[in-house]
Amino acid sequence: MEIQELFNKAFTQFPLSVQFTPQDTDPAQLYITASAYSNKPSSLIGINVALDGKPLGSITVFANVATSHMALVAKLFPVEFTDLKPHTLTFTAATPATVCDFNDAVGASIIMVSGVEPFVWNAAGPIPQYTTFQSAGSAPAMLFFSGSAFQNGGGLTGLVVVIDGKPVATSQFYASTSGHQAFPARFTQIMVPYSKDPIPIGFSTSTGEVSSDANDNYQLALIY
Amino acid sequence: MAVYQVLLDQRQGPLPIKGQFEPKGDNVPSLFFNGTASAARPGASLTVQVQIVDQDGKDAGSTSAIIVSNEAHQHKTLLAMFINQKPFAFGSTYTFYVTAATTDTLADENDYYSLMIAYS
Repeated sequence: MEIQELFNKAFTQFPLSVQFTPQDTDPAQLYITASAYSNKPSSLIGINVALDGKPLGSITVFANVATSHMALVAKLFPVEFTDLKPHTLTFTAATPATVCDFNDAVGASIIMVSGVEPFVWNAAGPIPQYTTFQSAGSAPAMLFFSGSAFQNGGGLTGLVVVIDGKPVATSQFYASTSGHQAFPARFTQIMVPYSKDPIPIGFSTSTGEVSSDANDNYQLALIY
Repeated sequence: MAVYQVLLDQRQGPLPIKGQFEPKGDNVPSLFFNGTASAARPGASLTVQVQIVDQDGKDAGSTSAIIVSNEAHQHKTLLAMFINQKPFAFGSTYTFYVTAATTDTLADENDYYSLMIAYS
């Protein structure tokens, strides 16, 4: 696995196009993080991501209040380059309510993947929610996960990744309001257990006070 | 196979946080740091930084996590990015410091920080 830092830069305007040159033609995961704000309350905001003009997807968060810069839920997108020539990432507003200015930033990195294909799972709220994956063997892996949630009344708000019934990683923020907020995206190392049977994996919350709904979205990935 | 080194795993604030590590390799390291912070005043730019120094106290790497906060005293999720570093010297001991980079950046016991090195 190799990580290529592509860019971390301030937004100027939509669309924003950034050129980069990949260092490898292996299959890879493109990590995208960004912030934005809403021009009206109670709106989904987000940024569409396109590579060489082809849409990869979007990163979003639900903004309960207007004109407040927020971290979007960072995500990985599968990519594979057939050459080492310059390529272009283009970012556009994913919803009419989405605004970015020079106080917002966008960052991109390429995580090269070789050997075992990563397990990537995307889910919409609410959580708890689980799926299964097939273990490639007992081995260390890099776990990525992201998501958003809210807590009525505020308080410590935690997102927990659970594998085979055991919590393996957490990300937390203190909810100062009852609005949706992205958890800090996490990359961390875990030991993937082996089983010949599919292994349950998914998201839970740190307490029953943590809420999520269809406006929240989640991603986890196991990269070997 | 990639090598990872987790230096902080949801370490509770306040800042500063100090720690030491011995690199797990001499390949190119990428730092991934994240957490939350709050603003001392509305409209402030929040920056929490990581600084790494070698055994002689010389700069050996850095990264930061940022966001602009329109509201004061609300804990905000910072943007986290991979930042490549110069290779560390295998077998040496390094010290890292996590600090608020601006006077507007506040961190208390309700903020949590994670820091990982991926060697590639």
